[in-house]
Amino acid sequence: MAEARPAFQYAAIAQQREAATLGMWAFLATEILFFGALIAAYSAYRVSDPAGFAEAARHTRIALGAANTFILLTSSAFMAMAVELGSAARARSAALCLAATAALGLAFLGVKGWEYVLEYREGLVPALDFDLARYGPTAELFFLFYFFATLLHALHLAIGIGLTGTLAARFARGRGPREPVLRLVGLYWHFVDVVWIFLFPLIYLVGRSG
Amino acid sequence: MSHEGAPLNYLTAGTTLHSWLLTTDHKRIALLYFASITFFFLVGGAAATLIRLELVTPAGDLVSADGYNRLFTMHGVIMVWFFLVPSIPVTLGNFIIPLMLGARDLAFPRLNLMSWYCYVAGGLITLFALLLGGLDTGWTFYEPYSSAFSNSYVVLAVLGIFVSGFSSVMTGLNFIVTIHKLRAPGLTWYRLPVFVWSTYATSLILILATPVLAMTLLMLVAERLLHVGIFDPALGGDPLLFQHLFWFYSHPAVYIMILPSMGVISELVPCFARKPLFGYRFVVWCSIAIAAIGFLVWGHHMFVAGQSVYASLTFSFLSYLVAVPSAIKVFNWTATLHKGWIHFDAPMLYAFGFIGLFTIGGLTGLFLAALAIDVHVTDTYFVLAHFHYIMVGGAVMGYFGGLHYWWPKITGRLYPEYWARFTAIITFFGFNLTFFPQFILGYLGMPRRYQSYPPEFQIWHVLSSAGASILAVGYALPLFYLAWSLVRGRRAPADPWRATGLEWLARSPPPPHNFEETPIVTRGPYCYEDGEPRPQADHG
Amino acid sequence: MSAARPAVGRIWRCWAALVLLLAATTGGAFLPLGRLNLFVALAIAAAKALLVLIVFMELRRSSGLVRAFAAAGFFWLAIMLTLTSADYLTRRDAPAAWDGATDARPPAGGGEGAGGQ
Repeated sequence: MAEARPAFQYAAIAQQREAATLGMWAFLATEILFFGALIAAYSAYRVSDPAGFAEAARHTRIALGAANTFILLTSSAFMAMAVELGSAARARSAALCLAATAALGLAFLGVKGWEYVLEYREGLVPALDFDLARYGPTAELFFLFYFFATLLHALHLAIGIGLTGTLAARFARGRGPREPVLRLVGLYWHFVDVVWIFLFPLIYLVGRSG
Repeated sequence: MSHEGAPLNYLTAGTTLHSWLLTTDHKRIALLYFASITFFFLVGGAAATLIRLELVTPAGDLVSADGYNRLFTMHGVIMVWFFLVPSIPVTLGNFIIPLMLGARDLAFPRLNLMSWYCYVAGGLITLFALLLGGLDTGWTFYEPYSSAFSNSYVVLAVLGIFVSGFSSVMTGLNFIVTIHKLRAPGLTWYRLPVFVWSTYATSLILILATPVLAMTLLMLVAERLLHVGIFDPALGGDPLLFQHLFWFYSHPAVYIMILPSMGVISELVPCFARKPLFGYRFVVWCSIAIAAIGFLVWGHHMFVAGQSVYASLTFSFLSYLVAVPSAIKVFNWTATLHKGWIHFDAPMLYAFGFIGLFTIGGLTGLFLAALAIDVHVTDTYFVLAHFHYIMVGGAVMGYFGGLHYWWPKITGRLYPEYWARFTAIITFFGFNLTFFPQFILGYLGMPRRYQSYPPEFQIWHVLSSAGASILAVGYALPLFYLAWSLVRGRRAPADPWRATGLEWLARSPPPPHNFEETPIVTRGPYCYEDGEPRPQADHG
Repeated sequence: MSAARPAVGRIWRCWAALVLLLAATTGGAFLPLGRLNLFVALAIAAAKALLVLIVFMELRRSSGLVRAFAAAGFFWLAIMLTLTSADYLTRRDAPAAWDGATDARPPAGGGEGAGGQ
């Protein structure tokens, strides 16, 4: 691998890479608090009306949610593969894995979009066509959180897909960007997966037992 | 400012607008920020002027009631988010931290520039909201008024604050990584100046608290635009949830505002007492403790809002706890003075002002932390006086102290010392005359955010407004003599104060990359032997 | 390169574990465990998150400093959730007479909000 020179404020390239890694983890910490505030609000209301939340959550489609979770977990595996291959200078294989990651991400968005369409048809979208008489105000609150959280997650995922696709194109041309760019994008992607890992039970697995 | 034969410094290296607006030099970015926050300080100060003018008479006769609401709201919003939160970190922190570390720049210089643009964008959006007619919800945006009832530019102003939040996060992130990774050889953690530790603690809060505010503001906007019930009780929401989430950020935010200032004081006192800082390790760990415990006390803003009494008890106890590390710092600064050789230069006068006024502010915070007392004085001028003693008597004095202390380093000029001492003294007197009567007003029952009041309160308001006019002079004077010093001030040597930090090894003003050679650190900070400085490194 | 192969194995073993946990949590949601359902689901989610963090995000071979940064966000989130629930879990309802509460009576002396205005 060609020896890169560190930026002027760094003494060595390793130092610069460590700094970049720390910077990305610090950024991810801010994202944990960002999504966490939404989960705190959700929790406050779920504690206040657990039965209402359970009733509302039964209208989510567990099969689609589980499928999406599977898709995202698999995309993370491909991303981890891409990082390994990228640092072993196997650029074309890395490009393929990155393409797979991005494709799975797009599949996730597709499934999500389909879910949104179905929910719209059932009158479950607050501020748009929510059927208050049929479902009640607690359900409206639950679905408000549902759309808020999943839209925000989808936005983060879309950014991830953009980054991943761009990297895939770079690697496909034979050489990826210098370290640790791929690793940092990987960290971001995995984090978006972690967010979904927590959103899945909070949205889809409430009130399923009888 | 540049002249033939002078060595290149960061000010003379590139004079085009392009070289300033696209700079990645932390020193230039510090100056960009300095100009911006000074502008916002003046806007917030203008609002304060109108408020104090209105309050001279008991009747609401200067502005309408609605106008008054907009004045105190914009004063709070601008002073909190566009002056105090950024203040020391983005100006003095940006300029001095890399120098103190023996580094050539921050870890992420381009991120630093982006943070300034986010700040400016957020500020412009908020200014736009102000010009359109402003905001009347109070800087705290309590629900459901802000979402369901207010007829003001809530969404626009909140958007401005949201955007400026990115600036906070980027700045904090940059400092944390820089302090971990860019310390000069030999500069171990326990050899770092306290200003660095304080900035680190502040940065922890910046990155961990700001995102919660961001989400809370997004939910507020969603509720206002979509008429759904997250916090609005009429629609099934809990307004207290807004307060929990808002204050989870906003209480640590006040530590963002005070910790850097405490860091400055820890630099000033050893230098001007010609003595090592007493209890260095206690002081640095207290900075971290304040940041950490500061996250656990937010409910003390909600004692009478309706939260459960057990939560109130918990928050009250934790609030007493957070005062302890602050008090330890005050004791340590005082002990540093003991048997010192005290020089009453302007920065030291500001430091003395800080120590006295912060102590008063901090003690009154303890009064407020007691549940029974808080029931009586919450939402009165007592609270206002408490936080202005800390924010203005504390944070702003520390800011001016640091500004004067590092002015020679930043500009290469010495400011006129006697004007600066005079200013520091009248600022101190003006401040006390403005805000001490407010403790009395609050105790007597004058509520905050009220435009008109019973005539028996007038004497205290008149005293307060008179003090404010003196305080205004104290803030206006530096604008003149500091500007004067840029043109006619004596040129500064590298180390005009004969202090010990690495920043004093660089030239005044420093060259673009700070040091010709990376310094090798051999001593801790504040090494003074019989008043003589022993610099941390021998060359730079 | 053969250096990549142990990593490949590790990645897909981790994936298999994640998928198993996904099946467990989805299936487990249908078991009648009452209030335990939530804890089981969150525990499994935490396990999945830890797998992603440790294996995919390489915390298993990161420095202590990086691990501290990773932990900090979750730790602070825990602070926020814990202290907020200190309020929500300890609130008592004190219905006012005009709220139509059937058993409305003045709170026994000393309850919060005792005494009228």
